[in-house]
Amino acid sequence: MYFDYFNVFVFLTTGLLFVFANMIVGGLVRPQKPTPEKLSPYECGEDVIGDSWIRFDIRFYTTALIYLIFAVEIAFLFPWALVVREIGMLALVEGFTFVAILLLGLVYVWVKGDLDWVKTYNASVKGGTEVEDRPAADIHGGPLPVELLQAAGVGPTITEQQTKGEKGHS
Amino acid sequence: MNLLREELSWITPELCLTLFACVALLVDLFVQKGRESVMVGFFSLMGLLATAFFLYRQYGVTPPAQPVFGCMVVDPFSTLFKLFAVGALAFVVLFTMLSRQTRPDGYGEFYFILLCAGLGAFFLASTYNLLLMYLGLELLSIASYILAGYAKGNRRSGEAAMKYVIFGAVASGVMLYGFTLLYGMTGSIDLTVIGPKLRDQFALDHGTIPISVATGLCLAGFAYKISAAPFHFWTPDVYEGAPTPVTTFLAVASKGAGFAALLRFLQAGFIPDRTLGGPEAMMGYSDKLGTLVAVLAALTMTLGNLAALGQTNLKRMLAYSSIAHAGYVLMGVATMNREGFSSVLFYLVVYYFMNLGAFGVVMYYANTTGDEQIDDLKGLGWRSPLVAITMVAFLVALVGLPPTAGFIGKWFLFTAAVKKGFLWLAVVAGINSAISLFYYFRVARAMWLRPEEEAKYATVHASPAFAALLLVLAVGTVWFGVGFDSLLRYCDYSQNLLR
Repeated sequence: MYFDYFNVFVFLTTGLLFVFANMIVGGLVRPQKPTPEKLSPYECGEDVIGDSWIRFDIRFYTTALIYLIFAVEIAFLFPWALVVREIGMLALVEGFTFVAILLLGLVYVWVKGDLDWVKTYNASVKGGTEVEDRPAADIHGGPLPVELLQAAGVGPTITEQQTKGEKGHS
Repeated sequence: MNLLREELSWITPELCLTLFACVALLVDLFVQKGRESVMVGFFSLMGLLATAFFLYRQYGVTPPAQPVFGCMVVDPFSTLFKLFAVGALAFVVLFTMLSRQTRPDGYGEFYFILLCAGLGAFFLASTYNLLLMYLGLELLSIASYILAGYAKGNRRSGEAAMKYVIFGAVASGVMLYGFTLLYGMTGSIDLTVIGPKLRDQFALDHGTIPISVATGLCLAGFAYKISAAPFHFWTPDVYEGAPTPVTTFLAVASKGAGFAALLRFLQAGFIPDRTLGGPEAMMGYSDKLGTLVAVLAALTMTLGNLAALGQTNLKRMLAYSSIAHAGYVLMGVATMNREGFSSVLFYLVVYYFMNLGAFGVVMYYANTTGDEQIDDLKGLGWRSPLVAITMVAFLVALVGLPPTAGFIGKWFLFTAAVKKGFLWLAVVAGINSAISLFYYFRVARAMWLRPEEEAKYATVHASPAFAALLLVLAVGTVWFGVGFDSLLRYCDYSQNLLR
């Protein structure tokens, strides 16, 4: 019985070898002529400004989550659409039930105001009596982070020289 | 189409619960501001009542020969646990309606998530299919994570949710790995198929290392759900941080569902049919597994009780007490026979009454005073006698003293363990019960043995609704200590169709 597991071992070893052997051979054979252009994340797109390790507004996550739910819904509905004719009434009812439950969730967040981009927020969580109306300052919900502004070339302390040095190739 | 209608008729309780979960969301949207708590709670209760009605209709009916839709088992065992979950949910909903700890906005989502958690418990209790078992576990767990962090803005609540998520993710991952190993060995995800296949493997006498690894990993997942050592670390923090109604749910319904799945898992997969006579190796393995569970039981109850001794926060103390009780119940699981499993069911029902009651009192106390310290209870007995008297009843039951149900429940667990030959375990449990007397009675002492002048808080009257709830639970706690025949018979009957 333990011999059966030998297959697994061989499989694993082959898999590992395949990856690393190719990388090593590739590294030895390929020419290496890096330019700053080549090393940038998007070689033929926008210049990257700043780091992505900054604080994002929580509202992006809400929107992303809701988008995700419906993206997955579509992924489920494609195979359903292929067979709905064959299975008939049952599949139709099931599909609509599925969509209805998801829509119920969407309606709920909508009515509760979680989709409003500019919203008033509840200052006191417990009592719920003191409500402070404060529209958000901008889409980031506050001043932009300094490092982002600096990287964009509009920061308060940055000089022309440094900007050029950072961008390099442009 | 007829077949479909018949199969659907077997899962009416689940359909009903799902429907009313959605209704709870809708009601919140259409009810005028300020009345959501009452209205949404009312509709949730109606839903639970309807579900209980459908469950009651399934009781005593000959269950379907094949699992419904190939994976849902409808038998008295699952019906018992579903009724258990519905009852616990009803009390949690009532507690929430009377509590002030939940957010003023978003009652709809609270009850929706609560009912979904109940649905997860339903699936967990009624399947031999590993996939559905895992799905039920995740539905229950994910809903519980959200509920634990429900007091938005409260740091401890957030911390509780975070710890719960991390622990839960690890435990469910470990369990899933165990499931995949079982699948790899037998080529099936159905425990009723896995059991015989494992028997064949035992008959071939290949050694038990792969099976032991798989079983151990699965047990880790179950141990996390029932908060048994060494996977109990999340319990105190989560129980303390979560809003009290949610803690009640976790301590009662979630734990009960975990035990249901554990019993099914062991019964179907790892207990040889003694009448038919399984292979020797399997008999031996089953006994070894029992011994392992017995060691876990001893460890769990000792850790829980010793840690509870030093607690000053009432909820945290009850959290450790709930760990200790998981240990007592595991004692019945360790016997790996029908008598032991019956005593497990009996004890869980008893535990339901006394724990709901104890947490109810904590919630009432925390609501009126904003305080959860044991020492600050002093003088409560003279100020609010009804609450204090019922609390003493629950505490006596938790210790396991007659004439309460706690005594009878423990009695059955002890006899089952001794009959199986775990005398040492019974001795450990006895010593543990004596230890638990100390910390439970610290609460009673604070309430009654201090003069009224020392009382920290003025009289706090229980509302009639809350007093009625406490009385129902207290009467249940005492009643099952005397008239336990029918309950015992039902628990034993539930085992009938568990193969």
